[in-house]
Amino acid sequence: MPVTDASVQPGEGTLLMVKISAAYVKVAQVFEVDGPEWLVEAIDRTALDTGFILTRPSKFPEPGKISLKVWYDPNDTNTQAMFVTDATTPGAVQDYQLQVNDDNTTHATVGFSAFLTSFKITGVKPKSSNLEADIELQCTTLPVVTPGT
Amino acid sequence: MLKQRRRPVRTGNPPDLKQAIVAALQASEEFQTIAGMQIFPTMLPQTARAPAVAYHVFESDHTMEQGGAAGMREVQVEYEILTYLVSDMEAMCELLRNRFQGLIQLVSGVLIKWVSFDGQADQYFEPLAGSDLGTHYKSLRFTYKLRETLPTHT
Repeated sequence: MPVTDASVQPGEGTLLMVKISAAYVKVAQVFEVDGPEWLVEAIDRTALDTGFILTRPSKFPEPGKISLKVWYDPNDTNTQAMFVTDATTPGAVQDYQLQVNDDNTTHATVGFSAFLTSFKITGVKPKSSNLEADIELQCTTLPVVTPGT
Repeated sequence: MLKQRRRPVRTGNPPDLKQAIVAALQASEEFQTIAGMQIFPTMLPQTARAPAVAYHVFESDHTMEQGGAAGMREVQVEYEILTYLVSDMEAMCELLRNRFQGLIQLVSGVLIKWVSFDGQADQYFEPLAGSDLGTHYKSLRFTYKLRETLPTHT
């Protein structure tokens, strides 16, 4: 498959959005996002006569995890509702989008659904630190890339 | 005929850390006793009489989040102290440490959220010919963490 020229897109300004009441809104104070990811398991198909370890791709791709860091403000009711509540009374699956800081009027997005698996407060130390929260989400759908227009 | 450019009218300058530092030190009676009004921005001028203090910002980090500015700023300030007497030097160092280390306070409109004392370095300059008074020099480094306004992009 030929590789076409593609623009470089900045990581800065790429936003994590969450769907609230049918509209996507920015998740506040996010400063690092790692994911989402697509995983394909390597299934072993070695036989005695293959001569080496042989694998094949799984027929079932797997949605992976996404981890993010936010500057944590316990006074912010949105963070409380979105993440802390989901950690305290688990079960909610939210719809998310990574909105890319590209040059389009409608930005490219990577959409997925996920539930919270970890919310951890960090950054409590006496020098050069802000209060942070490390958040981990497990995707329940394969991420979908939608180019911008 | 030359057209005169109009300066843009600013409705109010944001509170400045340097002004807050000067105000905090000049409010101290002990500082006034030792150094009087001898507090200078950026560097000690050649005409400065010891004891004297200069302060300068040598690094500033503005916290960001993916959506833009996050409203927190970390400013590293270096103080340079010049004295003739060791006792004055020790008193000034202790005064600065006592005033600022661990500070959480609103000072002259600047909301300081934390101050750390990062280190110090000593130097001594030999007396000039015809004098028996050497000069003690010390630099102290502090990091100030303070709230800052979010840009309006206008």
